[in-house]
Amino acid sequence: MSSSAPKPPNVQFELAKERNRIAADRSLLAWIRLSLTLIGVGFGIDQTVSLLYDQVGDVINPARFSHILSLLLIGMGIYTTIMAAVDYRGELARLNQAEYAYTPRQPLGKTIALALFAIAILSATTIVFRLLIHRQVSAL
Amino acid sequence: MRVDRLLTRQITASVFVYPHYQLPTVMHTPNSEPTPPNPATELAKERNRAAEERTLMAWIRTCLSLISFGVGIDRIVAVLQQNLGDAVNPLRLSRILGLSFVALGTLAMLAAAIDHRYQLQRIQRNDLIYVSRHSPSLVVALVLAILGAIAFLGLLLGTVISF
Repeated sequence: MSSSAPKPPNVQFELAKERNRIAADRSLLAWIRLSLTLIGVGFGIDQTVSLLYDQVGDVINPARFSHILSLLLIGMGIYTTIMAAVDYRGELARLNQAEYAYTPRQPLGKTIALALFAIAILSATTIVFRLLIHRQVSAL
Repeated sequence: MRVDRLLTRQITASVFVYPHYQLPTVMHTPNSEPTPPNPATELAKERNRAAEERTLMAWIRTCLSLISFGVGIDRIVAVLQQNLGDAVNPLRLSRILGLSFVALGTLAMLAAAIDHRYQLQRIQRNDLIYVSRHSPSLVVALVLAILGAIAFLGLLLGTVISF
């Protein structure tokens, strides 16, 4: 056998690459589901609250908390989708190289979890604050 | 050997289930003694098949979420509007968004099912070489980001206009 003969493909290595690719696919799909939930819930909250305000006959405050919360959730959904797609493309590019090298990177989940935690704290604070104001008004 | 018998039985079954099944490579040495198929490769193929199945299930979950969110958003807003006695606008944002979600979910499910079938045939090859390709998931992610941006702008502009 001459030294210039092409190296036969290692089928097990190629199959492992395929598995990594579809694992990346599944990760992206999980992110898509999360984004969809964020966008759907955000949009749903805003639409429902707007219609209920209409029913009561109140003037809709454009800077109401539910509206800001909805926009925050939808914004987070868009950010999550874009970042997950960028990460997926990076993984595909790494898999395309002859020698695969694992590169540690900042997990997107950490950012999203922290953002959700901040939103949860903000929501809880707003609800408690409103309750306190409502009690003070009714006491008067 | 018992393992060899089991492997042969599985391969025979595979030929019936998948007409495009390519039998494991049987290398012939100069003495014409066939080399048995590599069980490690066959097991790797089985892992790939299971991974493909999990991916298809992930697709099913994603598409189910897309379709149910689409129908949910449209119907909930329509019912609320009807109960309030408002005239239901057929071209409202919730309807456009809902229909887009349903269409995206249906098309994605179709694309995923076709891709799954193709991949199952591909992993049976003994000369398999990894080929980078664009997955439908990237397209779904981009369309979802666009739909999210439409919802975001719709809510923002709707408030500004009504204000």
